[in-house]
Order: sequence, then C-alpha cells, then structure tokens
Amino acid sequence: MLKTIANNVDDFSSINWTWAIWECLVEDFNNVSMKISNNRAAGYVNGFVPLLIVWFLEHTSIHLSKYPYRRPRFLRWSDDILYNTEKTAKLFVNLKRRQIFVDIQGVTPEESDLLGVKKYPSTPLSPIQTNTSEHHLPPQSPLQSKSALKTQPQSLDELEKKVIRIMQESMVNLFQEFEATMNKNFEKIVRRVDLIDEKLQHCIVQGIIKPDQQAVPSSSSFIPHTIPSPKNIRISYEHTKSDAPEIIKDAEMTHAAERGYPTSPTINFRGLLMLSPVKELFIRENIKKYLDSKEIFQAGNVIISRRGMDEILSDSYLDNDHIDSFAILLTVKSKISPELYHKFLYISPMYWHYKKDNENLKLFIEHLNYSSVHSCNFIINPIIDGSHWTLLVGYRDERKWEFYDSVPNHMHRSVAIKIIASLYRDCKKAFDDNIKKWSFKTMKNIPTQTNNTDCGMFVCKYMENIIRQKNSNWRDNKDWQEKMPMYRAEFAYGLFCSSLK
Amino acid sequence: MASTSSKKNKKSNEVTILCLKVKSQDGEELVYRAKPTTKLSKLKNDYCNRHSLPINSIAFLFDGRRIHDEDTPESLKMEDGDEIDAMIHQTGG
Repeated sequence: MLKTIANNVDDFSSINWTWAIWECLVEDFNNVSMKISNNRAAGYVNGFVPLLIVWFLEHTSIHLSKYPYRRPRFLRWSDDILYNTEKTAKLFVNLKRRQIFVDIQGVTPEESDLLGVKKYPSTPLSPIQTNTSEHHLPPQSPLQSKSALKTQPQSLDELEKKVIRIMQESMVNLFQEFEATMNKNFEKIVRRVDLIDEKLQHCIVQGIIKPDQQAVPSSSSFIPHTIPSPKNIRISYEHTKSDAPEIIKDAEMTHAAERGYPTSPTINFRGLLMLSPVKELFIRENIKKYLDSKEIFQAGNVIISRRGMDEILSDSYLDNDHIDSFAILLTVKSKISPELYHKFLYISPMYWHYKKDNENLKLFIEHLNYSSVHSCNFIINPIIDGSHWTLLVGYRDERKWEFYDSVPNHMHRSVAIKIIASLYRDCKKAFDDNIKKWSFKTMKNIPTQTNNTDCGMFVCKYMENIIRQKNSNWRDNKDWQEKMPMYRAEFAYGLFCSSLK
Repeated sequence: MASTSSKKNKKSNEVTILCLKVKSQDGEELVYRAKPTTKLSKLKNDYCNRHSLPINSIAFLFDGRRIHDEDTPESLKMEDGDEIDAMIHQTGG
C-alpha cells in the first residue's frame, strides 16, 4: 500500500489514515494470536501498539479512568501506569472475568454530534478521527465476539464520508474567501486607475498637459470590469506607485537623511483632507514621487523643490519662489481662460529686495516698458519686508494704488511708498504720468489672518481675487483663515498639475 | 622630454579648470575651482553646507538666471573668474 502512495503523492490526503492504522494493527495482532494458538514463537506485534494499551485499559476495570470525560480518550488515564514484563504476566493471570467490560460504549451520541454537525467548524478534524478510531479499536482478540467486527467498518465508512464532506466544504469556503479578497483588491486597483485617468482627462481638457500616448495609458485601455492584461496591470502599478518600489524609496530616503533633510512620503497634511478625493489622491501620489530636493516645478528663475512643496502644504512661511510660482500659475490660468481673469503685470518681490541694498540695480523689471504697461490695467507687486508679505496693486486706468496687508499695521505701508518712488525712478518712460501722484489707499475690511504664518498665502489669494473678473465682493468673505490649509493644498495641486508638462 | 610633457599637462589643466566666485548679498566671496563639465549642484550643495543652510534655501544666479542642478559651467558658457550671486530666499508669514 505504501508503494502506491509513494507513486502518487496527490492521493496522500485522500487516504483514510486512521482506518489504515487500525487495519495494520489488527492484522498484525491477529497474526500474533494465530502464532500463539499454533504454539509457534509469537514474535512482535507491529503497528501503532500504544493503542493496545488504551484498548486494554478501556476494556478492563483494573485501572479506573482518572478523568472520565477527557478527549481524546487516551488522556483519561494518568501516565503513572507502568508495567514491566513480570507484572504484565501476573496481570493476565489474575485477570478475572468480571473485570472485563463485555459491552463498551462505541461512539457516544455526543461524539457523533461533534463529527457531524457544522457548529464546531474550528475543531480540528484529525483529533476526532484518531479519537474515534481509538475506541473503535475492535475487539479483535479471540475473546471477543465476531459480530462486532462487521459493524465497525460500516460506521467508519460513514465517518469517512462525513469527514470528506466537511473537508470539501471547508475547502470550498476557503477558496470562495480567497476569490472575494482578490476581487476586492482588483476593484481597488481599477478604481485608482480610474481616478488617475479622470484626472488626466481633466488636465487634458483644461489644456494643462498634452496627452502623451507613450507615457500615459489611454483611457480606453482602462475600462473597469474588464480583465486587463498583465501588461496593463504593470502600468497601473507604475502610475499608482504602490508597494512595488518600496526598496528604492527606502534607499532614497536614507540618502535624503544623509543630506540633512529627511522627507517622508506619508506626511498627513490637513489641507489635503479639505480637497476633493480626486485632488487629494493626485497630490498624495505626486508627493510620493518626489523625495528630498528634487525639483517639482520649474519656470524661469523659479524652482519649487519637494522641500518647498512641504512648506506650502504645512503651515510654514512661504518664500519668494512660492509667490513667484503662484503668479506664474495665475498667468497660465489667465492665458487658458482669458474670460475669467484680467491681464496683469507682475513685478517680482525680488525687485525691491535687491533694490534696497543697491539702488543702481535694475533687476526683475526688464519686462516693464511702455507697451507692456499699457497692455493691461493691473500692476501687481508682492512685497517682502522684514519677514512679512504684503501686496501692492496699481490700477493704471483709475490712477490709484491699493495696498493689501493681512496683518493691518501702518508700519508696513511705508515700504510700499518707497517702492513706488523707486519704480518711478526706474521706469519713468513706461508710464504716461507720475505714478507717485496716484492715490494711495490701504485697504480695509479685507480678509485678514489670525495666525502668524499664512500671510504669504493671503497675498497669493489677494492676487488671485483681484485679477479675477466679476469678483468685486470677494472682500466680504471672512472665512479665509479656516480655508487656508485648503488654499495651500489647491496651490500645491496647481503646481503638481503644471509640473506634469 | 619629461619637462615639456609636464608643461603641456599644466597648460591643459589651466585651460580646463575655471575659477568661479560665489558672492553673497553681504559681499562675502568664495572662490570655487571647477571643471567645465562639473555639475553645479556640487557647488551649490557645498556652499549651503559651508554656511550651515538647508539645500535649496539659496538661489544661485548667474547673469540673473537661476542655476539648476544639471547645469555645468560649460552649458552656461561661464568663463574663468565669473561671478555667481548667492541669494537667500526671503520668507515671510
């Protein structure tokens, strides 16, 4: 029999091992008893002999079971029952008729309950099998009647069928469970890909990015509920940046830590939670792409690195690169949808920053000339002075200056007047009249900040609202401070979008 | 023979190595010697480390143009003795 098993390993689990063990032992036991009755040398009993002891104990009252309700049954007797050859010989001689149980219990109803009913699914199957086989240990000795022999295999057959049925059911359950989890994972992936796809379409429609068939999978290859080919799955993984590049990420992070700037791809910025899920996911995926000092956004002299992006998304100060990049985004927006935004002339905060140290420098105003000034009504100049951002806006048609300060303070406006004077000196020819004589007004009743880190973002939002058309009552909104994290996240979103170019 | 070849080497060295001045806004100057093919990110990182400043907290301008990490003296057509402006970012809140 062993040979056939060895030839076909797959059959291993289909064999009723308890039955085989029992059969083997009984066969050998009968052989030995036959030898003894023929007055030949008995030899050895092969097979699982410990069962014989249990069988003997169960069929005699010499030792009463210590724990009558234990299962498996061999646990009912304590392990202090020890026999040597001499004792054993004496034991059988003294064994009296009344000490032998003629009818012992077969399978108790309770035990068959345990086997047949599904309410004990966690009970391991094999112990029950051995358990039952033990007290099924047949009364195969010559002392016992032979009628019992015929009934036992039948009940074992039933048991076998039951066990196989239970096994099959549990296997089917397991398989179904596995299939369900796989389905769920697959749906998740499809959903993420859909989101990214949607985002890309959005960008393409807005004209922010151009569709690139090679780098970006086309939407048609990502129709949900169709099984994508393995190649497509791979692409989606690349785009969602899931677990696959984990090792590389770690390496980059240690590298970043060495350079003194540890970045984490999993920082939870509170502004992200205020965005729509699509935008939030988009930013999260992009944050993972850029680690350490990688440049995210780059236009002219402006570079926004991952570090700069973190500053936007957290509540940090904004620097001149941030303000410049916001203005660049505004310019792009106004070009894409000229019906929404006024044209404006932008003067970088760096103009004054250089000017105050060296009056002869004329940096950052090369683009100011007669034609550029006269092509638009708005002149916008953010000012950085003593770690505080303010905004100076000139209206050419109305011949007036407006000064926006998110922390209203008279001290802040003095610098604006100096800048106007300096502009007048540097670009006299660009203007028709004396810009120093335009009316100057510090704006009141505008949204103001209550913390001391958001003034850069306030200046950005002032700029955006001023150049937006049909937007005269923006000053009435007083909830800017609460929305600041969201504005910051939107700003970051815009930068990521334009970085896709 | 030997002397002439070493001379030649010297000459070629003189040709290939540039001196670049990095000037901060305070007027402090730092001179770097660089091959035309060296990436300027090296220079930027060293300058930041020397001044104990985070990388990318300084904008390096050459002729008013921002120097990017991939730029080399060759790509920016720098010449020996050219000046680079180191500009600390202005932050505010």
